[in-house]
Amino acid sequence: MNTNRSTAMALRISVVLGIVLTVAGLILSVTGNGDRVLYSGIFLLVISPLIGVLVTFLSLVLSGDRFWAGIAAVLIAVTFSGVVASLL
Amino acid sequence: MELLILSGLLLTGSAAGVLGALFGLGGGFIFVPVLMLVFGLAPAEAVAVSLVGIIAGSTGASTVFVDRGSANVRLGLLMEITTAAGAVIGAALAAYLEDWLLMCIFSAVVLYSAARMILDPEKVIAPAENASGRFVFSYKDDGGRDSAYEVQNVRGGMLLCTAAGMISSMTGVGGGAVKVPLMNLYMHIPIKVASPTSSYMIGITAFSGAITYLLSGQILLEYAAGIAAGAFAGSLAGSAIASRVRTKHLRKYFSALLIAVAVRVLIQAGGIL
Repeated sequence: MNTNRSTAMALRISVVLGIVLTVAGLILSVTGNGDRVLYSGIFLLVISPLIGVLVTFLSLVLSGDRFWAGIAAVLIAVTFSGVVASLL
Repeated sequence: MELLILSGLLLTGSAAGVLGALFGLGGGFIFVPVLMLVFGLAPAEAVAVSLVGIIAGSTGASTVFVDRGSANVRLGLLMEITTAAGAVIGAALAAYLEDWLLMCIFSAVVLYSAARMILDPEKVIAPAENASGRFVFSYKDDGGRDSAYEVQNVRGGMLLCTAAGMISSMTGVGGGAVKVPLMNLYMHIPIKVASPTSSYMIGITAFSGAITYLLSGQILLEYAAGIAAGAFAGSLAGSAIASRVRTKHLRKYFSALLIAVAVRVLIQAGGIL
């Protein structure tokens, strides 16, 4: 499993889908019905870097690269701790 | 939303997206003042919308840079750990330090980096023949050839990333402006790798702040949508241009941009922005 290819693919799917939903929501908001679609698009866009890191981690685990998989796991833990701390 | 406002947001996003992808910057130094001064947003609203734009630009550029192998994903993850930790420490410390002082320190660091990048030639440490190790990587140089490089001063670089994260979170700008020179000058990572890697890291850094703003309902969704769509389109254009710009020119243009960032922060420190 190529880590760069799988990470790029995950980033591409999430960011393109996020942008498509965001633009659709923006167009629908003219009629006053686009709020949920717009929120979903922005949400998907915002979490796309995290999706990229999660896919990188998975790819590194599957390819047996334990050192770098460990680094990715630490980053995921630090990121989640930061988000939880700021929401509390 | 009026068409004129939407056009302005798309234009702002596109400009920041191109610059961000070319130089490994987030674009916050463009988004925040423009959203406040031109679109009349409050500082907190501008920062929240800016974070969404930064993610759209960074992730858009990363889809190209990561696929092409010009962004070093492994090194990005490693350096992001200490950057994120530094950002948390910086946010806690910011309450005890004067904003203007922090901004002056930031500007001094950025100006020093700009001067070094103009004066010093690029130094890339080639690994010994048949060398292998965790910190030996390769990239495509200006001629399109595969060139190996060995990352130097990894521990020191990570420590300095903590400082970069602290300064960024205390001043609100400067992720890429500090990290790209740090990677290039101190860790001897080629500028053609440092900028894309910084671009990749910036999205991860911005995620924590953006998700907090989004879940607490503090993001103006229509403004964020306009900025994000522009930044995404701009980042794709910027990443296409980046591969054609020669290293020597990239360092020169990046230094000029660093000076502009430093001046912008000094103006902010003086209370004008």
